[in-house]
Amino acid sequence: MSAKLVRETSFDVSLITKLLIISSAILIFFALGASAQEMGAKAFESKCFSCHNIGGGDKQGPDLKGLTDRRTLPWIEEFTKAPLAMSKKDPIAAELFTKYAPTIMPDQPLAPDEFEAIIELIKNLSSKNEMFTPAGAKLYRAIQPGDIDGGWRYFTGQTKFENGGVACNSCHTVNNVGRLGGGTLGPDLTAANIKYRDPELILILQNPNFPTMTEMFRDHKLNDEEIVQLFAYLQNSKAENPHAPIVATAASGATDPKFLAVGFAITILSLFGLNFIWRKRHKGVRADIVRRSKI
Amino acid sequence: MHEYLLYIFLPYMAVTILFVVSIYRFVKDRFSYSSLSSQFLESDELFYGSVPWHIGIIGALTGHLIGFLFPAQVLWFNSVPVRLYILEITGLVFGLMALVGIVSLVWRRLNTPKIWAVTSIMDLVVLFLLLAQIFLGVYTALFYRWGSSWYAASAVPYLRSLFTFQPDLATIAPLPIVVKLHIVGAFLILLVFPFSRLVHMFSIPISYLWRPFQIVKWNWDRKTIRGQYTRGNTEIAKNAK
Repeated sequence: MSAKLVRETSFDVSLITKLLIISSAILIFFALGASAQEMGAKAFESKCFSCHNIGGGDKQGPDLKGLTDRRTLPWIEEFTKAPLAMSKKDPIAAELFTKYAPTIMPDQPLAPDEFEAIIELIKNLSSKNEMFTPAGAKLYRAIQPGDIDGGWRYFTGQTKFENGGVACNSCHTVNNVGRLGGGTLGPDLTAANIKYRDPELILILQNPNFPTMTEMFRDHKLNDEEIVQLFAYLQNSKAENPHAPIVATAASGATDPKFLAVGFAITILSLFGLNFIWRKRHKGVRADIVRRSKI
Repeated sequence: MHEYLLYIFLPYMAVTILFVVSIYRFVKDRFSYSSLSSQFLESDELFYGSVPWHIGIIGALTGHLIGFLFPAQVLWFNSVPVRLYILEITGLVFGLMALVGIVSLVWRRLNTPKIWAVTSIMDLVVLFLLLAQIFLGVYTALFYRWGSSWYAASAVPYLRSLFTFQPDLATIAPLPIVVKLHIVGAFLILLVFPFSRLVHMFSIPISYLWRPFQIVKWNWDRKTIRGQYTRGNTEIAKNAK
């Protein structure tokens, strides 16, 4: 009796355990699948979507629909890591760079699982013939009239970013941002909203995925309010400069002639000033010394 | 790989050598701490080179030091565009003065036979490094503006990471090559510092500011002077007659 009981009990337990294991395996499988998909979508949205669609047509970069049918995985991986370097040796990469000039794709050091998740997402959406739609590319509130000026104040650093990010004009300029313009370590943003459509620009503001900015803003993300005002400012710049040229995502390396002229003028004045201050250096008690030194 | 070599190994090596060799040199050969002045050999062109050079380089180095020590305060100062422009123009002027100075000093050294005769290889190395460094700095100031602001978010975190022995190249890795060369150039200058005439920076005669006047009396041999000056029409010769 007791032996039977034990056997029955143990049988029950093993059945429950089996069921439990199977069901949790199924759950984990789905959960993992879902989270991998979610991860892919999230990574694609924050790191790729500003320039690439999946199924929505070409933007700053080509539509990635069916990418895995066109190129091999090692090719995609190498290109993603260092597009510019690859364009110098690979004819297909070189052709892409010519086609999408002046845009230069920045190097994307993606984590291996992130890369895989994005590839899965591309495969998945391409096979279903679906389009990628970003979930978070929205402003948290509507733009109001004061936002353009507010954005300008953020851009030039007159209002500080809550999380301590550096003011935009340290590296970027926009037409009429100030008398001598903004910085030129980064590209001119006058046409930012022409180059990037609204959702793309919003995503960039949320998560600036460019080599220099990624690091500078890693721990200093813009908050929702700052994004709205900066977006309003850049949108206004588009309205004011509808024909501004679209520029590459690279250091503009330009200088403002006024800055150059003022710098040179003050330098020359200072040099003359020094000569004036020390104009008597050969006179007085020194006159004799100078004279003797010439003999 | 070369990045680790240039931005981690090089700075630590340069600073170590700077300290060790400077102290060794001070202990072993104290009187070699000198700027090796060549003013006795040639002083006219020196004036037009040395004065702007020193004003420019002291201003520029002070700017870099303030940016490194007080990045938040510099950013605060730059938060008003006019103030940013004033700071940047000031920096550019210091850089240009240093450039004018170093170019005339190089020219003087190469074109004055007396100076060339006393020029060592280390002098040429120092001049070349300084010339290149100033050129790169001025180029950066002009074409990768506004360094006084972005310095706080790129070079400062990197330099601080070096000081805390947790080197982090992430913020400087994407910078333009000119800026990177400027960083490497700074470490190379630190590296040659203790072996060169640059050590005179450690022996700035600050006490000159408060020491009493020195009265110089020329110990002339009047007869010799007369002999020297009879052909010329100098005041000394006239007075002697």
